[in-house]
Amino acid sequence: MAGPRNILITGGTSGIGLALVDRLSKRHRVLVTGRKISPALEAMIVQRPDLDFLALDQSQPEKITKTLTSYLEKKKWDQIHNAVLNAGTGFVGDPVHETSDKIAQTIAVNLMANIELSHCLFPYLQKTKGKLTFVGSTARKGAKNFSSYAASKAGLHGFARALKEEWRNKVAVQILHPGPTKTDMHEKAGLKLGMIRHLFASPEAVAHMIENSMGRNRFSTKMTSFQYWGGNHLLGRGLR
Amino acid sequence: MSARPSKRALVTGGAMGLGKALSANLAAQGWQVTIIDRDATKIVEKDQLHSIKCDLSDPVAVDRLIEELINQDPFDSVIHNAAVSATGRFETIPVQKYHQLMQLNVTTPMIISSRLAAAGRLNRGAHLVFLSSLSHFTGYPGAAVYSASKDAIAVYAKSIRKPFAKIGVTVSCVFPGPMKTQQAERHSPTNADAEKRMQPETAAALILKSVFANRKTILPGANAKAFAALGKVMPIVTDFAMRKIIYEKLDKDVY
Ligand SMILES: NC(=O)c1ccc[n+]([C@@H]2O[C@H](COP(=O)([O-])OP(=O)(O)OC[C@H]3O[C@@H](n4cnc5c(N)ncnc54)[C@H](OP(=O)(O)O)[C@@H]3O)[C@@H](O)[C@H]2O)c1
Ligand SMILES: NC(=O)c1ccc[n+]([C@@H]2O[C@H](COP(=O)([O-])OP(=O)(O)OC[C@H]3O[C@@H](n4cnc5c(N)ncnc54)[C@H](OP(=O)(O)O)[C@@H]3O)[C@@H](O)[C@H]2O)c1
Repeated sequence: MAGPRNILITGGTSGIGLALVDRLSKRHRVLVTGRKISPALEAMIVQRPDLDFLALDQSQPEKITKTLTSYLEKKKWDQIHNAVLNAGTGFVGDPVHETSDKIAQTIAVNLMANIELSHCLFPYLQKTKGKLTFVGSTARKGAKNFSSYAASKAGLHGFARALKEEWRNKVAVQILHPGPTKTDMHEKAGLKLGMIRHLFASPEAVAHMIENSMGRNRFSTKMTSFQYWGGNHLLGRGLR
Repeated sequence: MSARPSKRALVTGGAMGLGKALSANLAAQGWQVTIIDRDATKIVEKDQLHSIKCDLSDPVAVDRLIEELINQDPFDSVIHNAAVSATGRFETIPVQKYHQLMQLNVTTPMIISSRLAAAGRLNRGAHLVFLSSLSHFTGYPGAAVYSASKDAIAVYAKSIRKPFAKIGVTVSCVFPGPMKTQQAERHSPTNADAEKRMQPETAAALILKSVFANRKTILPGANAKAFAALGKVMPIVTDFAMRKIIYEKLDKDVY
């Protein structure tokens, strides 16, 4: 498809999501969601008329459908070409002492909210034979001090895997797994990083790889600095 | 009776199916078993079987349950068996059902495990057991959220194995194939062949043997082992097969 698309990006207030918003909102109509707007996103919105923000807290997944559908109605979007479900959260620590609240929040934001969003977005995506892109994590295979985060991303992968078969010929489904990326997530998760941070991919590099994967027919792929240096971002022509 | 006090087990969803078979097997080996189920009237209380009624998909009820358990003696075995499924087209099943499913199958077992561990209510040498599904290896279109829940719990079990070993607790995860229980009955295509499914009593015996041998990954029976191996090597083949064998034959939504 050529020409501007309607694109939804969750968790686009910082990090990978913000970098992707920056890339895609130059050529497409983009609706960004997140807990609350950030100064960086606000500055971008001022300059781009087809860029918009909706506050959508994913720690209360049951409320998402109502808030989102009434906003889309107001915005007169009855179809969506691409949805990138990128928002995510996590807490680092010994699982023996992980609190109920942290467990519940991780599963709600990373897994249940994305299930609710997929359910809500299906009719919008079906109209365009569009594409649903999940942002997972390489931690989905297991991580001992990031246990419920790893569990949530494994669940997301399994969900995407089943949905891709169910929605065959209706809506394309893919899940992309970034490796360690230089965003605020680690600090928010309670992790202090030293020099190792320099080996991490930049959010811009990961956003570049995400855009290219959105334009290609790939179900699942890793997105680490290793992949980037290997030329992953040079594949495909991005989203036209 | 010997002077040695019997070991204590906690089994969720023990009123029916596999949970009932696991509880009966443990009781026959001399364990004291506490069964948690939302419908405790189905449980016949005997000397060694005790029941607590709790809807494990309700976070408030689970919180109350945990307070009650923390005031009891510690456990030597905790088996998170209770789960529900939801089969059909993902988009036609009411999303509220998915919230309950995820709470019951994923969030509740994670929370009970960490709270009991942090409160010192798992004895050294205790076994912590999670129930995933063979779908973790094969994919399961037609049960997108159920399979998500079973992948999440499998990777949680894998992730906490080492940290829990530090407090002397062994973590195992079970990946059963089709069993002859009410759950399998309700969620399979109408004319599916029930005779190929494993009896829950057979599965329970195989599972407990592996649990007490400290196995990390438990695939009860030869069929489960074979399908898991195939799914690992050729995920595209099992995805395709599951779509043809299950999803395209599903004639109803069940949740
Ligand atoms: N950074 C890495 O190393 C790494 C590696 C693998 C995968 N990932 C994944 O990549 C995605 C983006 O992460 P990032 O690294 O860019 O981190 P980030 O900068 O922290 O961005 C996360 C985004 O999700 C939003 N979010 C968090 N909790 C939310 C909630 N309850 N409701 C709505 N939005 C919420 C954040 O908003 P707030 O600003 O309000 O928190 C932010 O917009 C996540 O899914 C993450 O799991 C990251
Ligand atoms: N059967 C299979 O083919 C199969 C295959 C792979 C994995 N598994 C897994 O094996 C485990 C046992 O399955 P099963 O076939 O024995 O299931 P089942 O026959 O449906 O029994 C599940 C038990 O859990 C209880 N339960 C359900 N919802 C509950 C809630 N909200 N609170 C408390 N208890 C609740 C049920 O009580 P009610 O009677 O009140 O509903 C029932 O006693 C599950 O984790 C399942 O996912 C089964």
